[in-house]
Amino acid sequence: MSKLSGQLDIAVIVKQVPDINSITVDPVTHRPDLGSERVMNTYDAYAVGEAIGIKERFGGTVTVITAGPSSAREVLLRALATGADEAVLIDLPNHNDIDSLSTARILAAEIRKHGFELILAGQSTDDYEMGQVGPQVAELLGWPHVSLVTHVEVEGRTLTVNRDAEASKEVVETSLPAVLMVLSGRDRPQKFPTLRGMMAAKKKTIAVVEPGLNGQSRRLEWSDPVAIERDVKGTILKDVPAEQAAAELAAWLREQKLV
Amino acid sequence: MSSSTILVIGEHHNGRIRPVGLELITAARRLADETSGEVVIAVPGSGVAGIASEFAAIQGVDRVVVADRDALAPFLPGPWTSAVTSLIWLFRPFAVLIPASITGRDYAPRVAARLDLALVPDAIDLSLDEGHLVANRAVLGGRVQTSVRFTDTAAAMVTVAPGAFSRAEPGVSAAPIDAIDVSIKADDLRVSLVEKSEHRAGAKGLTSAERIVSGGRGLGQAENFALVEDLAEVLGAAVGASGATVGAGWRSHSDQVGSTGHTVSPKLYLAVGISGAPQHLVGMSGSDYIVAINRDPDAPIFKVASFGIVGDLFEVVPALTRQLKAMAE
Repeated sequence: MSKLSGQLDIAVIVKQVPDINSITVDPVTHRPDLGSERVMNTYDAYAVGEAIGIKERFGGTVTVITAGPSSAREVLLRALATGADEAVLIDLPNHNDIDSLSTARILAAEIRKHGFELILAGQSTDDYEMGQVGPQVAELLGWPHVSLVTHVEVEGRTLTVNRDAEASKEVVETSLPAVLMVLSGRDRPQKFPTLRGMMAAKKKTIAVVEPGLNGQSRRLEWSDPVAIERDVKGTILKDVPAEQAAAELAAWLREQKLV
Repeated sequence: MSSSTILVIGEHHNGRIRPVGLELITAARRLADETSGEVVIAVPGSGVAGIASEFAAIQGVDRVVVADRDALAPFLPGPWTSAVTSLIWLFRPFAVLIPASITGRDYAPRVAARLDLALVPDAIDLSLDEGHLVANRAVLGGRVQTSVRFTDTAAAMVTVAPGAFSRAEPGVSAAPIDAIDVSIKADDLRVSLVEKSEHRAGAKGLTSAERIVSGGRGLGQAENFALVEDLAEVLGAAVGASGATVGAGWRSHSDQVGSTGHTVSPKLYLAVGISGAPQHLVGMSGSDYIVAINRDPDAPIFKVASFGIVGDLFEVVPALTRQLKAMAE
């Protein structure tokens, strides 16, 4: 992984997560069953797409990095199949038992070994939604970060970044090196791997490395998750003509003093 | 200066206190009564004397400190990281409560990394267990809840979800206000705002709106949001959007309700063409009344709806708008 001068080497931090839509909750124990389906975190897929877009427009390389169990190879393969050049798996079977800051430290330690100047990460994760690793990697590297990113332009060392802020759209400027947390696949739609891409990906190698330091979670104790009960016995209208259904809803809204 | 202090970061937006700030005061007061500590509201910003006085007038606040620096406006996570880090150094609090706003979520992780503190985001409840802070939060798309206990004695950082606590009310006397000098690291000034376009006045009010009409993928295309806007207008409601529509570029992120957007708890939440993905439900399931209009009878949104219509939104919504308009006249 040598660095050519003047070339922008981009790393994308990705995570393999349970498919959030196939999680079921046991009606008796109220414990969640995560199912067997594992996918690339939604926002990370956008980040990979944006990184490949940057590479196509401005040149450079894209390396995907994950800290996780060996099954996480699948999300790395998928990224390789959509145009990423290299992949690194930091072997961390117990990745969910480690706090966010430790995960950020492990990732930052790996990133330091390479010549990356631009790090992309998803805005948040589908499973635990901590949303901390991006800004924390930036902090540990001593780099600036920009969140909620929707588009990136690179000119020399300058990054012009569009972001979707609270009640406004913003354009911010920063310089390399930097960490960007990607929100949206709007400008550069998420790329799905083609069969040809998958074949090509299988020929690329995934570097498997040991974490440079030990993860920990000594400062937080998590209880087992239990289902949130919501006991709503609502009125559901089915097979009612639109006008009549609308009239019943309007009447109900008035009854509840909502209009 | 004691480790029983509860430090609240008093955020503001467009010159106004964030309503979630008042909710944080309620949460902080409860904790402080147990720790026998003080509730200190810190107000970082530029020209924020007025905001500070507003916070000082709220019941349950013991002290307000103002960190007034030009670099703190407009909001950028770097300078706010510097300021909040300084404040935590200064107060050595038992706990730091930060709004789980788009801005709070931006600087809180950085502060935690800088000070080597544990941070739990999006708390929906806070309690004490033998002197340790316990934060409840929803995970796995809001389907399940877990409690997280801070085990060491360093300051416990949490961001608190909007709508999790009731809002504190103005009190009879005002808390003292002091100016605090915070240092802003030069390295934290490396991002600059070039352009900012305010869009859609309605979006600003999403978290404080009493009524919200939200649209989802079922609308088919961006233009069809007009149906949602028309209905919102007769209801005097703010317009929200599901994550799918934001991801598709139909709506801006500022309209998004859900785990990476706003958490809302209006009296009425009317979901149009929203199936109710877990990421969406986590953002609106605290609403008093949820109404759903969707074609798919198995859509999860109906499981949380007080009133649902299984049907074609393109027929039901215009009919509803027309009838409500007629009712108002």
